[in-house]
Amino acid sequence: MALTADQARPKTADHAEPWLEAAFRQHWSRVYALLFRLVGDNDEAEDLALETFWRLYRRSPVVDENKLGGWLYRVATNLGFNALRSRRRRKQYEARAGASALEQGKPLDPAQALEQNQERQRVHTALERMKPRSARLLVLRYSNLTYAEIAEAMGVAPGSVGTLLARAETEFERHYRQLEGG
Amino acid sequence: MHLSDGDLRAYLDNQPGSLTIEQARVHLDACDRCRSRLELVSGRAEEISHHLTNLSPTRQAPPVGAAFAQLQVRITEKEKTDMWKKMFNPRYRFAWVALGLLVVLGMALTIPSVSAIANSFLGLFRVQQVTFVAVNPGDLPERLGSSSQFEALLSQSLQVEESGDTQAVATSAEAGQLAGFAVRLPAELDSQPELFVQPAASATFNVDLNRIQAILAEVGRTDIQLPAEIDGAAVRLDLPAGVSALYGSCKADLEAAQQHGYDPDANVMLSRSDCTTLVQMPSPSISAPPGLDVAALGQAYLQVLGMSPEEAASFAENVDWTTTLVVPVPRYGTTYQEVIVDGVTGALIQQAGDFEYMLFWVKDGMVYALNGPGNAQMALEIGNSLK
Repeated sequence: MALTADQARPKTADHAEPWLEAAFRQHWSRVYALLFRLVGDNDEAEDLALETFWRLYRRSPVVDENKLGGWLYRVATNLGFNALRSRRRRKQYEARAGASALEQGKPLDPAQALEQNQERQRVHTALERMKPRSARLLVLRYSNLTYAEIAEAMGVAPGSVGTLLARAETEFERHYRQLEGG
Repeated sequence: MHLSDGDLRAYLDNQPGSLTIEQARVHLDACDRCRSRLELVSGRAEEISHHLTNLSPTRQAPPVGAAFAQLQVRITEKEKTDMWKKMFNPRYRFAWVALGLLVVLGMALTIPSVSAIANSFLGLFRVQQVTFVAVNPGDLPERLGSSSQFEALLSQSLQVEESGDTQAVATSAEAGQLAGFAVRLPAELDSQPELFVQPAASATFNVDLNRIQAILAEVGRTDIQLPAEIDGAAVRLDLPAGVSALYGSCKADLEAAQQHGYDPDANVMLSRSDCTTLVQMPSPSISAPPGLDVAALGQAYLQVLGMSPEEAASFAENVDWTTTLVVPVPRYGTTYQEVIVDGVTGALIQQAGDFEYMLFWVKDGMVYALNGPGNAQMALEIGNSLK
């Protein structure tokens, strides 16, 4: 059957599939929070979170619904760590981090803001120095994902998450202490 | 036997490790050493939790409704900019060794009267489906072919890069290893195919709007308007490596045709007595700067192919240019239909009076083009037998 202009069937964002909106509503806040933990900047976290869902849209319908959360958090952590690695504007980030603290309305004095900023820097640096897999796992865990979700995102058995997490925490502690000492 | 740090860590989170939570609890009740170790693991976890809490968001996530609206905008923009294909010099395409590139415009190439346009004009991209547009290009192909401006555009604005040469291989496994995907071959054809792996290729087209408008003026189509923002845009097409399987007398047909003066660069279909070809490759992708008015470009493309401005506008607005290969076929003398092949919807084109078909489909991110002598039934039998 030949298609005419009237028969052409467009697929546009205006007709975004219900599954996409459902997935977005379910996971948006957590994906955003996870990315903020990684990049420390509201705008960048929002941008990367949108990028995560864009990739979900492009990948559909390949992602199994039962594995959706794991897939999203894996993509988000990859994007977040990539952003961290490629960040060339560390000074700009520092300024933003300070601005973010002010956004909260907390009555931080400059010394407190500086101290908090330095603490975030240390944590980010420690994460960057870790094995990527360990750092991902740590961020996922402290973004309040369940072991099942972490296992899905990391592609490991749920029963091994505890072991991997214990190793990751040991590794983080070592790097963090080095930074404190340095 | 004592609990590992992993078991203890899981226990702290009330999750099973190598033991169930209850088994771990029972062990801890009876083991001083493990209780002591648990305190250490717990202390470390608390400290790290404190550190990572510093990374918590400083504000709530943006409202989900507004964020989803942003996602929709992003989808729309990216879909548009993901699709533009560039112009291709026909010389690159009709060479036998570059058969893999033909898949992009493979169907159109079976139709001599539109092949010149189809080969050299903007199309679609990230092929997931195919649709047809009936056109009546008149003598535009000939006029384009004789345009000096058109030649200059191709030579100055188009850079094509191929990564290596076409390689003949002995087995589908070898082809798959080189091309990077599992090669499927039709069980229906029992002869041993000649297999070739075409290298990946990319092409970048830098849009020179003034020259394109000069070309349109030269061929008498000043009615076609192109969006100003395309000027200077760099559009890149990436073609993954592909595999061609040639059955029957393909080589003999080509050699015989060349002995009779066949020009592989010419837009004339090669007569095939008993040659069936199957080309397969991952879907090509196109990237272009954001902000291009894709519908306007598509409309111009359709006008070049012979549509009235009104027809072109209507069609362009209703096509998902991001995923759809828009294949021009002559309004007269050609039959085309949607068919179910290989479990998906495909497209079958036949020219009136010719015992030859082109069957095209996209499955699991792979583009397949099957071309050979025969009728629709024969085409489908071969297409449905891919293993």
